[in-house]
Amino acid sequence: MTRRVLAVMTFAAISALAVRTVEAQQPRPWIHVQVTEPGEDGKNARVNLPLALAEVALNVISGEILSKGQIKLDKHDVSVEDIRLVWRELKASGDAEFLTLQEKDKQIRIVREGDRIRIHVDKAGEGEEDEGDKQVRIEVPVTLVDALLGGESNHLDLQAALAELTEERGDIVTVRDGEKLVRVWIDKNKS
Amino acid sequence: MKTVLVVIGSLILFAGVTLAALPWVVVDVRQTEPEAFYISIPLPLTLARAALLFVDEDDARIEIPELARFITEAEQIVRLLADAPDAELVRISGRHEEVIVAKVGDNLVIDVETRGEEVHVRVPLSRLEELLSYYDGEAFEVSDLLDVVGAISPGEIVQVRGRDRVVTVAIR
Repeated sequence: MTRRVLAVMTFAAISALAVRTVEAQQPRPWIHVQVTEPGEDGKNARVNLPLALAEVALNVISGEILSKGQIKLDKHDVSVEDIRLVWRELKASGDAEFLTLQEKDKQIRIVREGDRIRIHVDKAGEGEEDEGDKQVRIEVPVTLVDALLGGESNHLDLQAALAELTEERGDIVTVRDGEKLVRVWIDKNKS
Repeated sequence: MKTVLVVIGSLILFAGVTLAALPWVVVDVRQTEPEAFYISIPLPLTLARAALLFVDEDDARIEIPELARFITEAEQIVRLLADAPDAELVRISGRHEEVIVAKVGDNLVIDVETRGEEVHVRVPLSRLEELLSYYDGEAFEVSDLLDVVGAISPGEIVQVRGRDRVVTVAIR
């Protein structure tokens, strides 16, 4: 009997050690931000941070904006509850083009393709002073929106959204304004 | 009389050897132009600690009450940085300036270069973590701060290099 108990305990200890070793070997995700501004006076910026740092940074943001990792939207006309209802309907509809807006020099398109929501905004440059066309590309995983809207009523659950991001890899946001580029992505690399 | 001199001499020698073995903070200022000069101010931490005995208790504290709200997060951030692999965390480069924040070993290294001036700072993360653990909810004790500084591995911790002046703060 004692031998069996010892064998089980040894197996459990080895299993626990193996799990910890695998966890330790799994690369932790990093969030990257790249801002490229070409030209003589342009500035370039690169930020590479472990995603876990972003989660902690959330707690540092003022309590006036956040309450337990959630954003209050009281001053906005659209409540989170309304967004949540709309989201439920949209989510149930599967792959679809949610919004297409075409104006003279602006085009907005929001579509769901599989597990992604894609938001495309294209705006033509205005006149000579404008540096060029603006292009915004945002890719949001469906599960991220679920997490964001999973909090209490009239709150966005940012912490849950960040936790969801830890599973994410690839580009999250790309904004191209003429030659300026802002890119946010997540991967396992530290640079 | 001879015995007294020997005892005093031994005490001075002992004190000298002890001071030399303990960490010193050395501030160097080197100016090249227009009037070249060099000044080095070595400060034995033991003396600084002894001087605290003559300082009023309130003056031996550095009050930062605002930190109380963020102390847990600050500790977490330092720990996460300490656990992270070596990496360049931030790089901002423009025509006239460059800012780099990197994690190198146990250190957070900050390099700023702008229009002929350079600032290099080395912050040992393990010492920063230790310092934060001394926060009592309102302030840091200067004696704790001295302990932390004394535990920093020898080397430069701050260097400010201007066109004609270099200021270095180092642990020796």
